[in-house]
Amino acid sequence: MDLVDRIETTRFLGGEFVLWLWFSRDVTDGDIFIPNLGTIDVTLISQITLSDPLADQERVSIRGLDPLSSPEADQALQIGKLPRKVGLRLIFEQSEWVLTIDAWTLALTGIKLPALLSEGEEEHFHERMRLFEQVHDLVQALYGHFLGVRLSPAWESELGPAMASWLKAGEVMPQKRYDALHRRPGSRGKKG
Amino acid sequence: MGALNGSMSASKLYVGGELPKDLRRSYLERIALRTFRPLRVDEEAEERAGWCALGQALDLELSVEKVFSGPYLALGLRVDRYRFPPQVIKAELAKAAQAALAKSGQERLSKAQKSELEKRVVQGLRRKYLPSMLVCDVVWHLDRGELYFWSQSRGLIERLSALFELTFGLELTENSPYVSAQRLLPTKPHLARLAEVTLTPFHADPALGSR
Repeated sequence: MDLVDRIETTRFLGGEFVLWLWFSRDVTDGDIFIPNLGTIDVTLISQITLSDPLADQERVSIRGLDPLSSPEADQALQIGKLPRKVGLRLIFEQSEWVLTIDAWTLALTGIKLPALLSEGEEEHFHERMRLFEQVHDLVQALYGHFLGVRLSPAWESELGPAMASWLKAGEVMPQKRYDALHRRPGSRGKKG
Repeated sequence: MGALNGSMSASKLYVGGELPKDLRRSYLERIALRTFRPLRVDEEAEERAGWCALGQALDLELSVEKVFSGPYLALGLRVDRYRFPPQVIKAELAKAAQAALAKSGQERLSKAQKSELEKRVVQGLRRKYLPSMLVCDVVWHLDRGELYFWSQSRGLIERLSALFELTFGLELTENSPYVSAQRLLPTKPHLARLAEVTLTPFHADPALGSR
């Protein structure tokens, strides 16, 4: 299989990643600890689009106060759809970004940056770019954290089934177990 | 909305290949060869793409100060296009054909005359109307080999990739879950597992496996 085929046939990883963020939010209350980085506070907000990973045109879009808890979202997940576009709020070291992630491409759009402090034109551009790159790095770090468990044997034996139970019956995995599966050696509670 | 102001929406691409040693001079020369050239009324090209200054579609005088800023190379991708609705061309052509027949006294126009007339009609429309202009910001972090392009349009990303390769001789790869994973995974065993990864059937009962 060539690279182009592999790219196209693994786009579902982005959908599983966003679903994992959603699951992690319920387990950790949104505080996802990344070793060597710190805690990223992740909130899923305002809008969600779900699509069939094998037929991307079949989409369901939901907006509202709590679209993630809507019966439409639940129903879409039950029949195998995965998140395609989701609004996110990320907080890291007292800075906050609001954005939409496209799970198929990992593109971040509509990014609202933290407040800028610089004044000169060039400094302003550099600060915007630094914050813009920083949010890409945070999403990349979350994705790397997800991949660590997604490509481990624990995915098939434990985390995947736990996510399936969460989808079907709303069962939330104990955080201690979640932490162990995500290899959080020495972590006690939340870090910032 | 772009790199300089407003909310930020961009596609991320990775730049592959080696950078030259005298980067600024070398790249500025190359950019000069692909700087945007406005479409002329009397030429046949309907569309053209090229570089302009970041956030300044009409600024085509690109200098080191305008293009390089700290670790970034920043440009605008400008695409101009003349495109008239076929009905408008058809109507203008019918009017011009009538006038030409009345003037020459011929009963009908030859193929060559029709072709010449169409050319003149299009030129006439080009004199009356400006081409549409589209500009997207491009910011390349030279050290990180990452490039942000302020568009999600498939066609424009392909246009950017082609112009970028022509200009810098380097290849762009769009970000995706797979490409991102390749860059993140530290070891060969991880990459081997990535090569075999299959969709998780969360909704199926009860053991997980590939769908």
